[in-house]
Amino acid sequence: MRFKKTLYAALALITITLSSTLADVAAHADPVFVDGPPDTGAHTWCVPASPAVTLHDIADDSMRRARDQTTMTRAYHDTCNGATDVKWLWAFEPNDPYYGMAVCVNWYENHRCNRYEITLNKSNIDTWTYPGSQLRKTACHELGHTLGVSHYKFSEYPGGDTSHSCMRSFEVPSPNKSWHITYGNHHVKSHINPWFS
Amino acid sequence: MHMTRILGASALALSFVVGTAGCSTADASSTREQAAPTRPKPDVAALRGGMMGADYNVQPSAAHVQRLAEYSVLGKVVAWHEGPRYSNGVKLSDGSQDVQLFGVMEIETEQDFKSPDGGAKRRFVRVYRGVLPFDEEGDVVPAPKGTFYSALSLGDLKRAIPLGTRVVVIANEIVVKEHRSDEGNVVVIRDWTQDEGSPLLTPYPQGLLFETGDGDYASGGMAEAQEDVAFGQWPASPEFTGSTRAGTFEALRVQLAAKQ
Repeated sequence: MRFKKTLYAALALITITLSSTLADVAAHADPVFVDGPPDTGAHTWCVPASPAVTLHDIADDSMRRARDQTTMTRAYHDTCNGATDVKWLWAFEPNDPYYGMAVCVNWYENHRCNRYEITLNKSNIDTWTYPGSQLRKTACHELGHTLGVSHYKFSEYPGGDTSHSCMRSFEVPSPNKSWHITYGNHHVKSHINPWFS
Repeated sequence: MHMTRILGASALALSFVVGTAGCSTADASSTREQAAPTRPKPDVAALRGGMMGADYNVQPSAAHVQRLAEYSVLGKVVAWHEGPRYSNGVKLSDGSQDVQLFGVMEIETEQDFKSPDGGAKRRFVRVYRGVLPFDEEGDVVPAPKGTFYSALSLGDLKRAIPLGTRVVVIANEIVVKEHRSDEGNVVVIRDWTQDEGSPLLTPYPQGLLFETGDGDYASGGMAEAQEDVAFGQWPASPEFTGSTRAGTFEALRVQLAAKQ
């Protein structure tokens, strides 16, 4: 009888300890919501500031090039709304050290992004030595994030690629290179096309 | 005797299971945690606020970033404040307006590596929180069914970076001005002013480095935030907990102090 009591007490104690330990393990395994892919279907876009001709043109060019290189399709929204996938904006922050950024404003519960915002920091882009190339590269880069691909740095090419793409984070070291406006083979074949096909 | 054997075997088996489970969370750093039990444990991954990625001038080290920046300081987080808010002044089709939100992290300076104003006891650092749509009444538009917003609350920031956390901030002064042109607008919804006249700093993407619970450091910015993950394994970098570079926070301090 005494053994039974001891056994039950020991098992209860061990069970509590085990539960606590496993709960701790589970908590460490919780994913965070980063780099979720977009929703499927046409990648809709808008430019809210009218006339904003330059921004509209660079956004239009970037969306067209992405469409031509991948299986992504696009559709333009005259007025931005809660269902527009990508809203393009200028920022005018000369001392904020970035060229562009992509943010998911609104997530689906399955961790796909419903609505992105792309911000291009015009102040910094315009002051770089090659502003036109920097603008095209950064626009392509940020759009790539909304298509579900990550960036890379230096020459750490992703997935076996052997040359640069616009997903390289950095200021462009020389003007008018084809990689400023193109996605890498790996990103297209392993990420974007499977997602939108 | 039989019960004793059962008890012994059960305890041994369960102890092994507990020990094994414990191994998956306990690593070499746990030992160091025991040596410094009061050190806060920041959750830098929680600072993203929906940020997917940025294009910036990537530098190979914090010392390189420091060369570019106006300010480089090491301090301890002593308060979190509601920060500035900006919009582009253009309404969405439902009349709402997207607003960019920031918190302000107040730090007590421990060591000043670089500053054009000769140093200050307190520094105020703008930290990105994300974007939220507000209606004409100034209320947040409810998220569409089955969705949620990624923007962080001030409470989220406080939980992610507890008071007392040590941090290196490599930053520039930021002054956001109203801007209206055919190209677009910047509307300051809520400005940030500090009585002491201290500048508001905005960190470089690689310039927000928090001391972790084990004495290393992790980036709260965009540095090395992403890894390439194949199709079918989204969300990418599910285990992302902020990049940790080789070396300790103390080694980082020494490195930055030497490069002044």
